[in-house]
Amino acid sequence: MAEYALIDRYLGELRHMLRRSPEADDIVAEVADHLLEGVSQHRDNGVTSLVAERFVLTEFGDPTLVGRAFASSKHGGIAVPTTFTKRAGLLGVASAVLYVAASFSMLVYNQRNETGQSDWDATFFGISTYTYIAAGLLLVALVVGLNRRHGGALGKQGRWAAYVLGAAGVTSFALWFWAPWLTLTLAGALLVGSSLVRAGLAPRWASLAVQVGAAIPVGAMWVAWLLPESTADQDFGDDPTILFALAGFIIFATGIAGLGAWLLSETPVDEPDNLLTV
Amino acid sequence: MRGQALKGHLDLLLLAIIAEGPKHGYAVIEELRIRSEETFDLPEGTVYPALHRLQKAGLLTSEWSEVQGRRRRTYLLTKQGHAALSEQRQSWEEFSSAIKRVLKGAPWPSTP
Repeated sequence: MAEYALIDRYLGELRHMLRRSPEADDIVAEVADHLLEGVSQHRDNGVTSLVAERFVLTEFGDPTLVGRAFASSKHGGIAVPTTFTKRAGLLGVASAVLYVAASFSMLVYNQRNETGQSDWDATFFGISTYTYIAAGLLLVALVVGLNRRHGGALGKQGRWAAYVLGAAGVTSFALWFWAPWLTLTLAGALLVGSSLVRAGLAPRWASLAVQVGAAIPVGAMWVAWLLPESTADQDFGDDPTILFALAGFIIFATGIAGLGAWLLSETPVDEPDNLLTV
Repeated sequence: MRGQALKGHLDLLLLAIIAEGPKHGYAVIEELRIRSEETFDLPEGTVYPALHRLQKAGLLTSEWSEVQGRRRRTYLLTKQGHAALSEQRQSWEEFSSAIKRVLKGAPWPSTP
């Protein structure tokens, strides 16, 4: 189809957008038929090939947006931003802020505890506990929003990520018992992060940051447990592991904020004055 | 036409057009544009995902053929699609009649 270079380029971009879709060949063939039919109609009306190509491509829409709209799930969801996904993005940003606040509160608790200011223990420990719970639950809302944004294409993995992160949020009631909630948080982060990377819509750096950030506190926990000689009588939550955990949670929260900001930045298709994308 | 106003009715329109006979995507979009006197001039790329969704829902089926050396997908209404169309058509009639009655207003002098 060398005769129509613009259409060739457009189809190449669309194919790239749909590279993970098992229906890519059929969709590209269907779109090619549509575009060539349009060019043929315009040429019959005396329009030159180049002008006809430009016209039909403009009418059809940006290949990125069209590719995204085609990323529909078997349940029929269409991968477009909506007011729901935008709200989920806002909750995601709030979750990120709370994760950082809870981690700093934990650090303060840790420092006070070491200096024997036990009066502060309950306060900062309590703040951390409830803030981690709130952050975890808001993160579930973000994951649900991300799944909707992908037209449900995160599938079972996305649903499991929401369940596991929900369980992590609830488990953080027992904040002193680090292993379950940190491990659940990591499992949920890996599930959602890897499914997002595979889907290729959300910012890749944010999807990776969520996974790497969640892995650091778990890594620090295992170092503290498995190599007791290297940490003397330290337990996880004491220096220096708390600093690793804090660094990990900041990276984790940055990733969450990135995903939330992405959803928040998009224009919902179901708002008045926006064009239909169903 | 603005999306919000058409949102929710596109399925009905697509089903109604395809009910008249098998059509490929370009023909469906052209028919929609012409019959609505260009009121429904949709971004074309967004109609195909809707057609695919209707197919996945079992309301449409499709067949491939070769036309002028290229593959063409033609959509047809299924039995389930016909049933959905008459149901949606009926609820639209009821809805639009109710709207018309309200917009027309009560006869003057209105009864208390």
